[in-house]
Amino acid sequence: MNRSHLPGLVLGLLGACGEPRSVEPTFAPSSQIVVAPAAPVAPVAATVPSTQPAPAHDGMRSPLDVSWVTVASDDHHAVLLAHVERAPRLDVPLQLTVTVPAGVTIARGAPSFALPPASQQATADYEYELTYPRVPSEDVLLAVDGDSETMGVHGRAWFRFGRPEPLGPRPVANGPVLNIGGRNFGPAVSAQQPGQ
Amino acid sequence: MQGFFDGSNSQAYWADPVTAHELGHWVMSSYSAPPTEGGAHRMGGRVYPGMAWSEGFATWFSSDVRSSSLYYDKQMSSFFWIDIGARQYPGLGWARPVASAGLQQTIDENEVASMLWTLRNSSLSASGQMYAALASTRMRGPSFARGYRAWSWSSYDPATGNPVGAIRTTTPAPYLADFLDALNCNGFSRSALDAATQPTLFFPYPSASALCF
Repeated sequence: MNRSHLPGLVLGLLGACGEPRSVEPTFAPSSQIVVAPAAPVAPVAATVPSTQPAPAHDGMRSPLDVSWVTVASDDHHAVLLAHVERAPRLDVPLQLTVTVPAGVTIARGAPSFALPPASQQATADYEYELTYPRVPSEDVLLAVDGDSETMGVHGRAWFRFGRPEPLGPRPVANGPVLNIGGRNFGPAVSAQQPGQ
Repeated sequence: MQGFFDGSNSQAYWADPVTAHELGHWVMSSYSAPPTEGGAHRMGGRVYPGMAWSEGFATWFSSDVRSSSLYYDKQMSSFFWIDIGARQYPGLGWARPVASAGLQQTIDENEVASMLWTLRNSSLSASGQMYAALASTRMRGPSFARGYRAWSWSSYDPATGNPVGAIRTTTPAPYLADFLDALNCNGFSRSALDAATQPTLFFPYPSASALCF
């Protein structure tokens, strides 16, 4: 691709003219129209010339994070904390569900319940005690799910009884060798549908 | 073009909207000018205009090429989705711009994406006009008619999602108003621009007095 491939590239400029202007950024004040308060950012620390390269892209962080925290664990018993972290004020109704494999009993902690609103507690730990005659071969799943008409969040974490996290399918570089501009990039990774 | 994506168990590569979003950054960098403004951010936060333009454009580009206003992402333990056409984060609030705060106000990047989505849907030719405006001379710099200068920050307030410790640089940067000028001066429908920005209530872009040259 190059610039000439962009559709409808028009360099001619039309319309009313005005004087270019330079103004300071403003921070939106609160307004009755705005659902969330338009919070100001921190005061300006300094004005400096930019000598830094363009910052690396940093994606938008998820509003939900879940994990298991192991308090104690042995061959017959485990005490775990279901850690749930939500963006403050996130108001999607969330259901927490713990699913245990066959042979595992939840001695303490509710298998499923509705989380309280994030306005009350954005970060919370819920304690679970599990008992089992032997270490099961399957994992304990922590699931947190919620959907509204305009947004949804879903969290998953697995307690693996000390087992390492299994690796998903790995790409295999078994395609044709890629040579571009005299450089050998090695064999390509074939694009395949799962199962092929 | 080569894209590099994290191959860890984060598995973000399964989210096509994210892949297309990152491609949108490449499109902006290749055919236009990136605002050189960026950093930590989270859903619902207000960021500086340059970053909002960069991220909002990339998210809109993702929606445009997929013909869907749904954006979703997989990150380690979680998956989330939003609808940029609906303008709602339950509880977090979708902070729309405030007309009295001027053009260079802090703004939610997804609000930029939402305005662009509205523009895109205003006519069958809108999308092509938007890419032409993106690649127009005025959007490639090194100076930009609206006179914006990039800011730099390294963290955000976890409670609000807004940047903290920001420092203003002297680097000229494009933002949404420059792009709207580029559209406007290329003959894009002013009524469509007003419908997207709602200038008397929200983003106060003056469609009748664009900076054209």
